[in-house]
Amino acid sequence: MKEKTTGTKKPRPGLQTRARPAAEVAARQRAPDLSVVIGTLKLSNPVMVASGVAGYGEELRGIAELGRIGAIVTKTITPRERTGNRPPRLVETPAGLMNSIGLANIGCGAFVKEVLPRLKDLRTRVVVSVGGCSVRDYQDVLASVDSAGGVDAFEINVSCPNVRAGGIHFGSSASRAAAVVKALRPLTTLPLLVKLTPNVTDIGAVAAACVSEGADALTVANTFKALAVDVDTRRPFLGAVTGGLSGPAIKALSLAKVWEVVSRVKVPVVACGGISTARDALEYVVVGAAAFQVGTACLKNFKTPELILDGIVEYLRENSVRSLEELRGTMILPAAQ
Amino acid sequence: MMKPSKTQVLQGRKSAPRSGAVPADIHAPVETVAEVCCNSALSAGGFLLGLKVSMPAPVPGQFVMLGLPGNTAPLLRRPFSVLGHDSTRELLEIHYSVEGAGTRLLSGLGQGQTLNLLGPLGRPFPESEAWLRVLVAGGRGIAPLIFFAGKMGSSGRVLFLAGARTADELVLLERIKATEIFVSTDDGSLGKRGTVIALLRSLGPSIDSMCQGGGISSEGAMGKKGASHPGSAVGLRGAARGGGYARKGGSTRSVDDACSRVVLYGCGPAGMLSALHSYAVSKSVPCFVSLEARMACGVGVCQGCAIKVAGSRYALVCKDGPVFESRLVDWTEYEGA
Repeated sequence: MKEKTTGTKKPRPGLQTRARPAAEVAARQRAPDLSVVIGTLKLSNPVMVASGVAGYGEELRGIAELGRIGAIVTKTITPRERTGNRPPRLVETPAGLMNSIGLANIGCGAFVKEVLPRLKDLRTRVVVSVGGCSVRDYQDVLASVDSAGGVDAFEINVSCPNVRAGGIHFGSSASRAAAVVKALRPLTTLPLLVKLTPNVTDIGAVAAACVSEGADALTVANTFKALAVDVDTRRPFLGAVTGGLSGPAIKALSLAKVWEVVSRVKVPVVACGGISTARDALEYVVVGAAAFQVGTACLKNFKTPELILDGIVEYLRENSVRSLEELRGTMILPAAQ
Repeated sequence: MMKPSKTQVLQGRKSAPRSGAVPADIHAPVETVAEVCCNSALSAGGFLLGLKVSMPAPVPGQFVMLGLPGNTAPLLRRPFSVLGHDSTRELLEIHYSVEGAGTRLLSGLGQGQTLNLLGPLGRPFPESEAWLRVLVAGGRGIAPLIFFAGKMGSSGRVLFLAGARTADELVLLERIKATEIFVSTDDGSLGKRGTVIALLRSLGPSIDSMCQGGGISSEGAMGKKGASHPGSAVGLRGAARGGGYARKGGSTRSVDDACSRVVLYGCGPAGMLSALHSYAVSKSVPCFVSLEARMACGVGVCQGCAIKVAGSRYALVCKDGPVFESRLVDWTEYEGA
């Protein structure tokens, strides 16, 4: 029997329905195009390390091969140093991690002066996460980092308590989140991603409002509000009582949020929530995500982003898919009854 | 111009030498695969785990993060103190006890199975030029102190105190290398009945006497250290006898060698360490303790393992510790992992 010149694996249904000419096959077997464009930012691939697990960008040198991944997002920077919440700050749940770190960070001044210069030779894109307790706080941080230069984009963390509004998160309403974006848009020409909180009834509305004020992309989403209590001591496991749940436990929840947002906006959506394998990432892509972030899974193994990248390349090759774009938003919905 | 904050100082941006201590050489951690060579039960839920792994040599007091595959509990890696390391054979030894789901799973691993390993991590026990080093171990805190005692130079004396709830839980005694070894058990099944701190207090007069140059004669080899065997009349004692330290080695010391030539090291439950600190304060001697906290990353990026330290600041157990000078710890808040 004549050996086939095509790939050795049978393509999955839905991706290949006719025999392809040899030339086309050869073209498809070249490295797939994984590049992603977010505003003016071009990423070499859609893999990002989520805020909170990569420090300020350079702590993982020597442990993880940062040069292979698309971008890292820094720990959220606030105007002043924040020491963080009362311990304990971590507790695991089945397939999940709850954290109440409390936005601990070195503050904008120290970041600009001491850390930024060291990021110059980092071989991946750097997205700075911006936070604050007031609109003015966000502006101060963004303007300060923007004028210092050396970063590639900003991710606006609207899961910060708005002190003037009594501590309710900026991202909890469309109008509050939009107000932050509106105040920041004129301050930079760099891409603005807004990281939404999923703890809302209508995340699509919040997303649309942010886009209308100039957000280039949305990161969907931050952690889910959660609680864990020690029955024997009757005390919550976390010092701050509630915390944010992340990890494989939330993937199905985050996927639904991504779908809601993708259905409402046209800008790229960066998915975040429970991704630990290439298949998880591709699931988000099929739902409509343009890129994705890996957080908790990095804590389990810092090589996870690279392994996911390898897995995606392998999947695309095996299925003769030329670019990730071909898969994006290809979820097939049941026909209306 | 922003002065480095105390948090930054604690987080290693400046590594100030500790009082009277010599910083040890530590190596950058690696993330790699470790293969189980042996995993044998010692007693009462305690296990000795031998791992074949290629990694930089850990220094006593350092730890590694070990992870099981899969996304169910335990999700993240867990910290384990290093009991021993053989560079030539690439063998790492860990002692652990089964206390929850994770360690139960660990106890079921057989030869050839693999774990994800990140290490060596943390700041080790600082070596000291003190004339008398007193190592106080509570329960499974004995492992890193055994490693430490084994690596000490031959000058000076080492007093090793090991306490546990019951004789079954006093493990690895044959591996202790010290000038003198004392044991205690809460139930009196071996050694002195009571806590290891009570044992330490009972030895206090002897320590004081040594500091004032009394009760010491040169006898045989100087500072000879050998492992003592459980049950031996010479080696293992439950209660101090007058002049007990005169038994082995040691030259005549002048009264100029005051109590500042004594240093305490401790590893064990929170209550024990807090009591050890109080004792150190009462004797005006330096004291270094190995602390625990729930950890996620193990390298200082997630800020999850924070503990309260002097000045209402936080330090990270994984990066600023796990060994801390006891006077820097806020003992009203420390509760262990």
